[in-house]
Amino acid sequence: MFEALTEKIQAALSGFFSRGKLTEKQIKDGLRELKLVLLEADVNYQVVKEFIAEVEGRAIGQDVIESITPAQQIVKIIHDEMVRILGSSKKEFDSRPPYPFLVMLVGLQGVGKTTAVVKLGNFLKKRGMKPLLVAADLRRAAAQEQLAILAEECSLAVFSEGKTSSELIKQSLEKARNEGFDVVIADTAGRLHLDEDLMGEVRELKEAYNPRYTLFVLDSMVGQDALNQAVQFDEKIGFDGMILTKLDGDARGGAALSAVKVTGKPIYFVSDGERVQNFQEFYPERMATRILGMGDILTLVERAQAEMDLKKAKEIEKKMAKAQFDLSDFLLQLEELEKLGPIGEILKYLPGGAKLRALPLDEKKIKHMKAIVQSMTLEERKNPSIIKGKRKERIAKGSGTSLLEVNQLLRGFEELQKIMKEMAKGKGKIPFLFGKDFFK
Amino acid sequence: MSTLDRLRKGLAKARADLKQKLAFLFKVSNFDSLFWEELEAKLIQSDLGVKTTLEIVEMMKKNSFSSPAEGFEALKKALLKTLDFPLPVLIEKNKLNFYLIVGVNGTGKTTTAIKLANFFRHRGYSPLLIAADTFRAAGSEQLEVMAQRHSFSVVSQRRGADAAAVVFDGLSKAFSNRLEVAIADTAGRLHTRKDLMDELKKIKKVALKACPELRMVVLLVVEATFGLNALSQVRVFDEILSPNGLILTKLDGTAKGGFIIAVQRELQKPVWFVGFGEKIEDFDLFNKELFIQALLS
Ligand SMILES: Nc1nc2c(ncn2[C@@H]2O[C@H](COP(=O)(O)OP(=O)(O)OP(=O)(O)O)[C@@H](O)[C@H]2O)c(=O)[nH]1
Ligand SMILES: [Mg+2]
Repeated sequence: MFEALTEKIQAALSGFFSRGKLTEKQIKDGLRELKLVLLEADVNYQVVKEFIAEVEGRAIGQDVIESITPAQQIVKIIHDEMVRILGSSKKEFDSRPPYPFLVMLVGLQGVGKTTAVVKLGNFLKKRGMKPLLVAADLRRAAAQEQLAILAEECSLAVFSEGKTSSELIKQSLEKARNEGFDVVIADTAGRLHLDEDLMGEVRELKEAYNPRYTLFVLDSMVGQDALNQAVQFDEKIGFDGMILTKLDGDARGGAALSAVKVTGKPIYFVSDGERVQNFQEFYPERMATRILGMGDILTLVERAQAEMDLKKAKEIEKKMAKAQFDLSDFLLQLEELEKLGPIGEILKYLPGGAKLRALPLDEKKIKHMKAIVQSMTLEERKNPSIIKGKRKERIAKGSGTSLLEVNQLLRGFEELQKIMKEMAKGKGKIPFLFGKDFFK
Repeated sequence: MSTLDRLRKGLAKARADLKQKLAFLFKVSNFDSLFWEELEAKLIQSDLGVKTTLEIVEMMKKNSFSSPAEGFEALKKALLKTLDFPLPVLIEKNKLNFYLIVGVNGTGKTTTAIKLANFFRHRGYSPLLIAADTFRAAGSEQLEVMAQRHSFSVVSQRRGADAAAVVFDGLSKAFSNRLEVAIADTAGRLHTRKDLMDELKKIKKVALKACPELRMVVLLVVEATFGLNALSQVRVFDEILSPNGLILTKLDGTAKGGFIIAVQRELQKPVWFVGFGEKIEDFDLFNKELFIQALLS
């Protein structure tokens, strides 16, 4: 169902040429699909409801943009709104003096805190800082060893002497002061937000040592529960920001939106692999796109909007509607396609880009296609059915390609014309340049 | 009070709450759109996912109920029916029963391995633990420390050793000691990592070679906090390893693990065990009644 849904939105999106006005019905329809998409991406139910209401408010008030389709516009509003929420509280991680300052990582069991401590340490070291890691998870068996081993692998200092977490943090801060460490990063034992004793313990640590950052570590595979977890950690301990882990999996990561929306706290970093280097700053754009599950489609839309010669596009659109689109028009389209940038880049932005990448469509291929069309007479371009044996040979020779390629192009164009005829008959919008069978 | 008692008590309370809540839900006498929306919200918030939820709601809508209680019973029955799988055969007699514990990172595999060993000890077996997480830093130490604490024997090697070789070692030892149960912990791995998934396949192959009288049980550990990504996990692990069943951990939190229901629509993977705390006794056979009650609470 999910596939079908995104495809629906995407199909609507791919219609580069039709436009219209945003009606209330279109907004409602678009938002109904969005609701399902968000729920399938594990965004919390309550958050989805609020989010949709907000987007609806915005969409209804908006002016209609001339150059894009309603579907595009709705998706853009949705995307912008999500980026706004995810990024509204985005702040730079402040690593400036005074030194040393304390960073404490907290979260549920198994979310990846220990690894994140080392990764953050390594990240700050790359910024030229001198971090000291504190193995203050005294509960899980071999947690201290785990931290020590990982830290050694990237030459980070670890402190692990002490009988209580409090003692450990206290002494490590002292050590940092004496030995010139800039930042102390403390691992803590995983705990459930329901466990009042353990939550109290971290709260006390926080009150006693006043970390510059208490960071809540959130597993991107978490579902509806992300809301509970984030709210309760924030209420019971109070955190300043988040680290989102395990993004190298295929979870859509709706948990991120839930947590940011209900706490208003920013995500500072993401972790996306088992290696220490797999740790980056958080980009709201990327996350929104991931949650919506649509490649960087909007980037493409924007680039296409900026670069496509609208007048030409309009003409072609008219011809398409009447199914008079010929190979000369096709040539124009190829040129537009080239203008958008390296084809690999563009495919990456498209939903289902992976599938498309499997097709033999690259810059070279486009160059060949252009050359083939350019080697045709105007008559041939208008009426490709006259291109038979001799003509084919001439075209292949003239374009420096092969008979096979000429045949492929002609067959592809035939397909395209069929698609356009359907379209003219009003059988719905069909993505033009990327008609599904065209580039086979 | 044992944790299990606590869980039971918690559930009893949950049941009372539930009655109240659902009474409210089902009191909306004419089953108006608000009622259906509440039901939908309830199911989605338990991570059943949109598809499964809509199916259940549709099914409910088709019937007419004379009372809230009747509606509630129907819902419960429908959910229970999805969990109708045969009881797992825990031990095949006169064979070495080899439990291979797998799953993505941090779901509770190592803890589960110990809990499972303890479970079998209480049934009169002396299980051998195999520390086949040679990948994560201190992965095998963690198991060793826990095993020592509870006096289980462990077979392990240094970090970076071939996991399949450790399994081979362990099984040979278990076999020559005529043990009936061996349990291997493995490194957490995302199902999207093909190389690491292939390693599991290799472990399985090597295990079958290590000892002819082997009965292999692969259990996939998923945690209740997960959302619909759990479906993707189960699907991929199923393709590559065809695990016999699932272990659902971390039920002591606020998450319900409703994706288990969604999993059944597509893949019919029985849940064998549940974990509901950090202690060794916080572990039991899956009980679908309790699960559904907690789910609807
Ligand atoms: N609350 C709760 N915590 C659990 C449960 N099972 C395991 N844990 C905790 O979750 C954390 C991770 O457990 P592990 O057993 O190390 O998980 P793992 O899957 O072996 O982790 P990796 O080997 O790193 O992939 C530990 O702190 C455990 O104590 C459970 O049922 N409930
Ligand atoms: Mg482990």
